Amino acid sequence: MSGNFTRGIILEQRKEPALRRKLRTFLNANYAGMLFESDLPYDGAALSGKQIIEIARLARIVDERDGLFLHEKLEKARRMNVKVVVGDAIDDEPYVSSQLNPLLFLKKEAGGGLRLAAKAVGNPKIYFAIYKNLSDLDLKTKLPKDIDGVEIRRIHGRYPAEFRTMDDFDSHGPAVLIGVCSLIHLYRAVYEHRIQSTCFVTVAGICVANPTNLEVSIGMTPTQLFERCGLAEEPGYVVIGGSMTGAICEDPDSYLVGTMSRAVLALRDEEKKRRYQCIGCGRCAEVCPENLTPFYINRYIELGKYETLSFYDIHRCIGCGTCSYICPSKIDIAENIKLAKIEMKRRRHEKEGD
Amino acid sequence: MLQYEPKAPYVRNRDSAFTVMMDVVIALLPLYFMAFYFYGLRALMLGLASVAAAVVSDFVCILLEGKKPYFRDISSVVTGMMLPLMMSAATPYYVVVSASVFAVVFVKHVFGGVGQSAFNPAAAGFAFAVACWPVQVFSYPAPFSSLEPFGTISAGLSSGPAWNLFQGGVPANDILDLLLGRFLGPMGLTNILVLATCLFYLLFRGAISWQAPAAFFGIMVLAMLLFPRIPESGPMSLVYEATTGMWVFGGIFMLNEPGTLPKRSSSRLAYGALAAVFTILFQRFGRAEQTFAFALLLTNVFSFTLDRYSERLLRRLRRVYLATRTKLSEKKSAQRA
Amino acid sequence: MQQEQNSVKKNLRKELDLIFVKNPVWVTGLALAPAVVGSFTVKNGVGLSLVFGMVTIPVLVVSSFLGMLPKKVPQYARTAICAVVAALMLIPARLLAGGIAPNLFDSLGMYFSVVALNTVWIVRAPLCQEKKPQWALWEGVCQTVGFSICVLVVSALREWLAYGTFGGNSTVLSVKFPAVAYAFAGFITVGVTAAVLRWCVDRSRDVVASVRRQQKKWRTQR
Repeated sequence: MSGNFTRGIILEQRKEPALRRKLRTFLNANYAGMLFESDLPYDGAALSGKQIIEIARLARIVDERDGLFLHEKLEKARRMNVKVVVGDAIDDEPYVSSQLNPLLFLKKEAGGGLRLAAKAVGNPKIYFAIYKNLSDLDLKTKLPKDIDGVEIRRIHGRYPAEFRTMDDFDSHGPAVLIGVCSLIHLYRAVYEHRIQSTCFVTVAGICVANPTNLEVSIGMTPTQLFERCGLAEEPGYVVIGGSMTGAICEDPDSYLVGTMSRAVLALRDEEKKRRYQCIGCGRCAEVCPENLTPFYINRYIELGKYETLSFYDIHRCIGCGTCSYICPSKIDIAENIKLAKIEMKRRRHEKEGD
Repeated sequence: MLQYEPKAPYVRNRDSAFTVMMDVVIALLPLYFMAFYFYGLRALMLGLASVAAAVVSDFVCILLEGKKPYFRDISSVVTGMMLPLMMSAATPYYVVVSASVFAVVFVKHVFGGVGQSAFNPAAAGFAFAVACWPVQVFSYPAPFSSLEPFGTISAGLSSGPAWNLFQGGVPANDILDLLLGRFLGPMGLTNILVLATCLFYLLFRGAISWQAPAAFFGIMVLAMLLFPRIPESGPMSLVYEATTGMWVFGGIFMLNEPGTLPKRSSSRLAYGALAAVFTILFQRFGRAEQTFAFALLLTNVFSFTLDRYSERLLRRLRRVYLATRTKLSEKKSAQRA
Repeated sequence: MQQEQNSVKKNLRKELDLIFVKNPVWVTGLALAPAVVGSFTVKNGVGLSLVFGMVTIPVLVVSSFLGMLPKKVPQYARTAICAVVAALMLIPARLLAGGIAPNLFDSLGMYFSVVALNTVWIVRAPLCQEKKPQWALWEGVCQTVGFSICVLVVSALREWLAYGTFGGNSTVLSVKFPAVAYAFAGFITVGVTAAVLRWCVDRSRDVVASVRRQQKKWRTQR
């Protein structure tokens, strides 16, 4: 059981008020109610496991955390004979609650979807996983003990928690994590033969007037979402994805929101950030969840010595951004590591190409 | 619209390098208070001169390097504040100013600036002052004697209990005087209780980590209890050495300087232990009465090597950890199957 | 005839670079040990340059003659012969040093003899075997001038800062830094003066380049 002494950082979750608000829909008229053609019955109880996987394939459901097709995941889980299927509602990054909020407000669909997925895999145990270190949540939103009869397992520890989740379920056997939003889409696919044409995003950030969780049609733009929720002030920049691992949206008018977006954040820098030189404090090495030494990795990247980086195990970096978070000199260590990995790959290809 | 493009992650910790260094400055202020209480205005003037010299030389060096000066980078202020505290209150101004300039220019900037230096600038500055003017640095005025803020000192200067210990004798001071800091010694290091408060403040603020001071103080205390260098019992020898020596101040402020400290916990423990060993050796076989700065300079050399070794150890541990995890999960799935 | 004159001038000009632009101590970093440690008074500096000159010039000339030996003689044997010559040249150097100042040999200590096996001739002797003796001589002279300038500048600075004197005569200096006479300050002084030299050389190169550009512009305008 990964306990409270894990490495990493404790983050202010900033999920309120978006988490407390009811899930709302914001759809394009074109996309509502797209159905797929199939002879299969509209009842989950009457379907076999293989038929459920076929329905997932026809509905083109994508898991929102890793971008894999749900039917591929279920097939692989079935082949590997997994013993636990976990509904993943771990939103360990600040502002993001696009898995947790649908879980709390669409309980029947989430529970039903999880049971369907379990049936597809071979009827193993089922759980929902929610992150425990939600510091400011206890005041406003009370998390239930179970959703639709399925037990909720709280994942302890500091950010990043997602990559550590499998350890919690290791005692039962091999496990598979499936995102809660894709489970909700699976339920709808089975009972209404609906193709996945919507996704769940959190629209939040300092500059957003009414942070909310929305179910939006795939292909809407961040500008439309901000019009729906209202902007309190002009944002400094727009982020798609989590606040720790997301990317900046260059053009909010033309970017199309999709299943992997998870959150659309309108942020503004709270203070003018000027970067210092690295003071060598070593806080990055204290918090890295993979126990790497980002100080030396960053130092060698700055010096351009890419040969020593594999000695420091740069390929084990999971890109969680904890080192950049804690750095008092505000150096973008995670970004440097990401670029260095690309550069190393390019150099390796160049060398092999000769 | 964007002045610069921020990179992930988009939330950052509130602490900055400025707050980290400010914590150290705040921890040094009570020592200046004590110095003012014992020696009057001259102590504060020395501190001011040293800080001014450090800041000016830092500014000039940054301009010479072609960079833009940043007033929130107060690492030179920290160096400037630490230097006069280690010297006598009657030191002439040119001593602290040249030690300050030497530390900032030749030890900090020549090696690359903040966090890149191989040696602790304050320790190197003090070592330079001791090498140049040992008499001026080690002649102390009596506490509460009135010292002129500028110009030559008319009060009598002599050597303190540290000199007695260096010669192998027992100091004649009263124990209460030693504990409260009322004896002839460096300007800011005499009161061990204030130093302990500073240590706890820094630890709880998270400005320093516990591993290096714990290892350092642990081994120093053990050595002083078990192998005293004066003909006194263990605990008495510990009291004498701890109150008169520079190593308590050094273990709190100079050992944990972020640029020179190793970055991993295991190497920090080894570093603290190594610093303690070197301090003890310098105490026995050295040629000055306060030798922590020299021992620290020697330990700084090993900082990178210790990190390299701990990285090798960690590489092995990571692979072992991964191997055991996969083996355990395979075993569990085999059991269930 | 004209070509020969030009090549003579070119050879002469090339070795002059050794004085500043390719100074053996400041730029190439050879013979650092005596230059750094032994040069804390001007008298010592003079002594060091003297020994350096009396050792290096003959050794380079001898190695140029060694180049005429058959190819079969291995390199280490040639270096050994040069080393013997260098050691032998210490004897007249000692006598001359005694003539200049009575305790020069004692104050230099071991560095008097260390200069005999300095890295300058160890590196340059194999290369001088290809040259004619007169060019080896000229190179030896230029190396000595370069070394002497470096050592004299550094030792003047250090003596002034450490003792406030110049060549034994006291000058005006209110604050003295006795630690500058130690070895660590020697390294720092050599480094700082090397940086100053580099800056001067770069600036002079800029000036020369801009003058040449200006001349080219005038020539095309005419």
